[in-house]
Amino acid sequence: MRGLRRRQTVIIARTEVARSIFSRRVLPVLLLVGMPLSLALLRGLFMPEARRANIGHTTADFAQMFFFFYLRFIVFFSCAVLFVKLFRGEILERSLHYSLMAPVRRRVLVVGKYLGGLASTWILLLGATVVIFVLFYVAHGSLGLRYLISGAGIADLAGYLGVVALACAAYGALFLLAGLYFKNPMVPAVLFLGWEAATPFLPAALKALSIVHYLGSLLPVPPVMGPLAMLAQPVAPWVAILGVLASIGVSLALAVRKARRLEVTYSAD
Amino acid sequence: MSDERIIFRGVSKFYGEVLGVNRVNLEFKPGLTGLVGPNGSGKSTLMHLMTGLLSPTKGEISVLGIPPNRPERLFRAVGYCTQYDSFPAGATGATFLRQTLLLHGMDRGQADARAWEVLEQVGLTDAARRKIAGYSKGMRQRIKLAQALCHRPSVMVLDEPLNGLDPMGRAEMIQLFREMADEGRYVIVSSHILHEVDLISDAVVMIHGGTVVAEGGIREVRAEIKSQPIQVLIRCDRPHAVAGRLFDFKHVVDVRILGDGEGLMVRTEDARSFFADLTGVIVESGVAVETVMPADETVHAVYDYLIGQPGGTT
Amino acid sequence: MAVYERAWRRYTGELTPIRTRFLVITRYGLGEAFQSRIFTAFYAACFLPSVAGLFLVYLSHNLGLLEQIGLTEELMGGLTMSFFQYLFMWQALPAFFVMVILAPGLVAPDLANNALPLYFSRPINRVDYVLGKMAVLFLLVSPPTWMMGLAIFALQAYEEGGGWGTEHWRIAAAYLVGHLVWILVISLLALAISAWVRFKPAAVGTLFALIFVLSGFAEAFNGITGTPFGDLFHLTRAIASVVLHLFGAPTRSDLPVLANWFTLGSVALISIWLLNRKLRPHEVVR
Repeated sequence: MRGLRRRQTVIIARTEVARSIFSRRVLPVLLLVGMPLSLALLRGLFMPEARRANIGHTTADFAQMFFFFYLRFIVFFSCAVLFVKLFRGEILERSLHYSLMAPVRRRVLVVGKYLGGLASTWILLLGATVVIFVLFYVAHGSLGLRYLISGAGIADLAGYLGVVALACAAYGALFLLAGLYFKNPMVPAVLFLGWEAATPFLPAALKALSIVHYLGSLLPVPPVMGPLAMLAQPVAPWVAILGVLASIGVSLALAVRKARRLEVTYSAD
Repeated sequence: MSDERIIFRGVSKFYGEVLGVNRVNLEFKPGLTGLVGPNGSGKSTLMHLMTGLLSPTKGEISVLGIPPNRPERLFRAVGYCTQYDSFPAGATGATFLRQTLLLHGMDRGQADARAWEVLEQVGLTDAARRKIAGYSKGMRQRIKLAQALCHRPSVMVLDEPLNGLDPMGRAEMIQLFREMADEGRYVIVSSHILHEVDLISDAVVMIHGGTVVAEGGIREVRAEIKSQPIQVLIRCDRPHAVAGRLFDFKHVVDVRILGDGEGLMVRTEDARSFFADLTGVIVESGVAVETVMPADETVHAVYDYLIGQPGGTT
Repeated sequence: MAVYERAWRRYTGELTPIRTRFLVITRYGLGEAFQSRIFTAFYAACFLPSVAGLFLVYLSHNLGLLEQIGLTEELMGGLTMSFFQYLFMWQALPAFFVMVILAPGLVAPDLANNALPLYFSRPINRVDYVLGKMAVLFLLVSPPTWMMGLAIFALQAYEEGGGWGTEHWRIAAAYLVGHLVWILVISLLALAISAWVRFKPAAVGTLFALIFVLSGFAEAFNGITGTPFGDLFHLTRAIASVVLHLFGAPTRSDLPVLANWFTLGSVALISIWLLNRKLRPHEVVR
């Protein structure tokens, strides 16, 4: 029986990956990812010659771009686009009943769809992160290439990939849940974006309810926060990872609970 | 609850303040059961409740001993062809069926083989690799049916399964449902095409305003309706002679000579006595009788008596 | 089969004029808009900046009241151009949210539920359909924006007297043209995104993403290239610059104001192109 559940999870996940990546659904994500990619390309083209000899600027620039643009907007909205559609998309398409009419536990259905969404976001966003990171340093020619294949470069890239992977997992679970609970999940998503933007100004107890607060603590190169640096209050890496995992756990548990009570009515949504 | 029945016990379902079904007590037996009722009477609600797509507000449901809130067990035994004419985006006929069969635990080879077998059964092999979104209405109906029966369920729940099918298709599907019912499976078909329900059903459940108004074999149901005299059609060579004699009986309410002058329609309050007396009348009058048959032991007639709205004919 | 009675007669009564037929769609769209209580409350709240503006105009011309509440005329400082610029922004922001939340519900469900064949089998065309839907947004967003803005301008002109209104005609022009351009561009964009994406939640998300993410992209573009050309992608900066130019104030963008008009015009044209592609009575699936 456990073997069957595992197989069903894989089948559902595989189906979602195919629907997410090999369909029109991927276009908004490609457009989103195209923005930092084009920025990286432009940066390489417009970089003054004097700067090409100094890798340090690039490390700092990438850290800024990664935290303030890529993580907060590109990863956020990419996860929103892909994960919200897992259930809410089927409800709006009026095809959810096929998922509910399979001999599959609702828990397996939720986990399968989540893993499918996660695999899709990892394929797209981790891949994009690598390309953007490489483009940033390739502008420095052989100096950049040496850095990329050195321990420090690989360690930094691994750190950023880890943060993106965790971000996809955490935001994905949240948006999967939002898709189950809300008829229009993008409105609470945008409200949550606002909440995350206000994180530096929140007290520590409320900071704990923000995913970007934990992700910021895991960055291999901390971004320059300016006057907000005093308010940032980063946490220890193990606390940050636990915090992210806890948010994933809570979101998925609530999602399973909601999925068990799902009814097919397809009223005007 | 017993293991081999489909039972509704005191089931009610409310959508907020709107009543779906109210205090339904039903037991479905193996064979083909027709579920009839006007639009909005609760047929689809009953089917959704039976298959776990809705949860009852009150009451209990058991399908072969399985509660509907255990889909991992329920849908091994149940196949449901819904009324919804929508499909997963981008799915082709073949991938749609294959996905269903893979989730039932078949491996790829088995799933592919069975999918093609079912596609052939419903006449969709040529279109199997095309997207379902490009199918005609009849083809979409066929693929829904294929999805419902591909895993060989013991219980088939079919919500207006003949919608959109051409006459040949209808005949083929009706034969298929009949074969499945004859195998001892539960086949529950909802329809407003009353003459078809009449033709194929072993039993009928009539529902109106969320309440079950009748259930059972159509003859038994008709016999229960005491408020409406039985109509009997007699075709013979001298209808006037028979009519004159029939007026002597107290249980005969009305006699009408047919327009073609070759028969009469009799309404009687007591069928048993009528048939006994009719034999005597025929023998004494020496009339040549071609046909004697009940004229309103049909789903259409019973529907009219109990629900009072016109049933469908197409 | 013979036809014995030819009793059917064609309708010979009054018909809706062709030019205003699209308003039938508008009527039903407006009805649907106010079905949500939360939206109705939010819409009512959109008038608050204008009400505050009216109150401030009144306050600045009533010394007695100012003294009673402890403010002197010097403290109030009279109403400057900045007041009207800030008021414009505070009116435009909630109006933006109204359009972004409402527009997806106007078009996306029609596409998702395959309702376009039903619309286009009536004597209306695609232009009527788009005009009808846009009119819903226009009729809803106009009162709390340019209408209230002009009312506040009129009150200020009346209270000031002495040809103040004629002297500061640019404020009225900025309100009228600025808001109308903003409404036109955002409503076209919102309808186009809704037609493309088809699903209401996705459309709302895409609109927000376009505004926020493109803004961030534009800033990063400017920073990386050391040029102001990123502002070509910055929709909110484009409209802000156009409006400030209309007010006669310095713009926020280093690009010439024609470039900002180009951005707005491009967004409008791309939206019209998307609507033309997506609003078809029949979709062929291959």
